Amino acid sequence: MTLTDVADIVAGILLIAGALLTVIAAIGLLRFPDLLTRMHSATKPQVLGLLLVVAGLALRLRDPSATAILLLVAVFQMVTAPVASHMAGRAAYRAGQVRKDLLVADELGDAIPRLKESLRDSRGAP
Amino acid sequence: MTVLTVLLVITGVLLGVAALLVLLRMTLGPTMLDRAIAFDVLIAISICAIAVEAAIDRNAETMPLLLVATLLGFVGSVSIARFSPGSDDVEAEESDNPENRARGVRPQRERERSLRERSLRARRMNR
Repeated sequence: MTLTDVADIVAGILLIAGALLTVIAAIGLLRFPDLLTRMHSATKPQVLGLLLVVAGLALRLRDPSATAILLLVAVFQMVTAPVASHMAGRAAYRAGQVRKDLLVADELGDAIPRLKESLRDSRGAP
Repeated sequence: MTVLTVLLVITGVLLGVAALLVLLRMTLGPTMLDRAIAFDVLIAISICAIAVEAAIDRNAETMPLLLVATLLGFVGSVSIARFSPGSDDVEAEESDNPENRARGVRPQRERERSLRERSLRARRMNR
């Protein structure tokens, strides 16, 4: 058993771990009751699952240029996934598509009336 | 057939099952944003699938495709969230921002009304 064999087996284990995460996330996506809880499960394959798969592929290819591109993929995904989730959650809250009875704490619910009030004060009477 | 090939085939099957479940959520909805989230996950799954294919064949030719898919998923879900109906994002920001008011940027609804009036006037003049 040489070093490349070991690297191949580790790569296979990493890839299978990433695939398992995507299956778990898909089950969560199907069974959770509202958008915020679905977003909670959706982030698993987007960050950790993808990182595992990319690490596994880099171990399997063992090619510097491919590793560089894979690193770029991982960095891009880690930068863009929170932004996209934030936009989706914000739009859902503003559209009233969040189930308030499932929330433990609702800080935005207190903040939005206060924000509207301060805007009205700064602009004068509407 | 090595151990690695068996592992990779199992990985492919798992990814297929996950994609099917996500597709089901995409079909059921119920809101547009649910579909946007499901689309994001589907993009992540397809990136994993391309990676597994590259791992089976040991070819690095599909690597740029991974990069493109990452950015495509980001742009897609952000634009759906930004312009999703009911969130009033664009319109609220235009009319709420005092700077825009000062610069004379009017909210969407007003702009549409003035456009309609102008076209009505033009039609009357043609008559």
